Amino acid sequence: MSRSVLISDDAAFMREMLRDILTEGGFDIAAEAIDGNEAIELFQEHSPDLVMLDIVMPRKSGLEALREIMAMSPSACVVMCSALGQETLVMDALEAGARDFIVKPFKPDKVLEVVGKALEKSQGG
Amino acid sequence: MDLEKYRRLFVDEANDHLVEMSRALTALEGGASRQDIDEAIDTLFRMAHSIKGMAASLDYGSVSSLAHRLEDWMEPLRGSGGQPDDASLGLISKVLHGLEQMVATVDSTGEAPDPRADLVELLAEPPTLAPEQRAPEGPEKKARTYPRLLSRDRCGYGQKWSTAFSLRWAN
Repeated sequence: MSRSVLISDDAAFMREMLRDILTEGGFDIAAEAIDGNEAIELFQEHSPDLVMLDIVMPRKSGLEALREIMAMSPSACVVMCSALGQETLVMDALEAGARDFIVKPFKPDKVLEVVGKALEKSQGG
Repeated sequence: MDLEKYRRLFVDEANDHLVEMSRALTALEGGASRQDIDEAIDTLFRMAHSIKGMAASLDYGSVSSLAHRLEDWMEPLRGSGGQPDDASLGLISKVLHGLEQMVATVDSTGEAPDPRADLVELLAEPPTLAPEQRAPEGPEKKARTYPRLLSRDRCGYGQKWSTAFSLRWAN
């Protein structure tokens, strides 16, 4: 059975790229969010197997959304999307419960590897 | 990867971002409130960040590098409520115009634009604030004016990053 992923990024370009990579890799896209608030709402609505959160988003950042999602569902499987220069924020996200992170620009093999491993860890408890 | 589809998306979204950035710049020029200033600075920062990511995904190094420099240049202003002075606003305007030209080149040729070393060089100097918002002159002024840049880029960076990797691989 395919695993479902919630994509969160304010850039349509990045959402499209992740959607293409993940569907090509056999994943279902549960929903797409354009900011942290929508990510939280869609997480509650769809209960996806994995959430991808961009760090820099309007209204509510990925880090703030991560903290709220982890408070609601401590076993949530979240992977952060970051850029070079955001190392401190990535560290904060890992400490807040993110399983892993992907640095932009996205490389399809790397995205699928990180997502697959995060879900494996999630399944293994 | 369908390069043409992503090139189209890049041109459309980057142009939308540049329009939004121009609006933010206009808001900054109009003697805005502290909240308006913070929102405008945040918009400029986020849009530059987004253009950087999209351009890097398509290997447009000249675009991502200029957007990255603008993003870094904006960082000390975020959340500070500081109104950039006329020189800083003029520099933002020049960089936005440069980015517009680069995106137009991608649109018309499909190729990576030439680097804009002149603009990158101008962004090497930190932003300056409007006269009424400047702290008194003194040797500690810069450290107090730009604390976020110093703390993120220089203080304990290596140690924190190695901790991040330890956390990641320990699982």
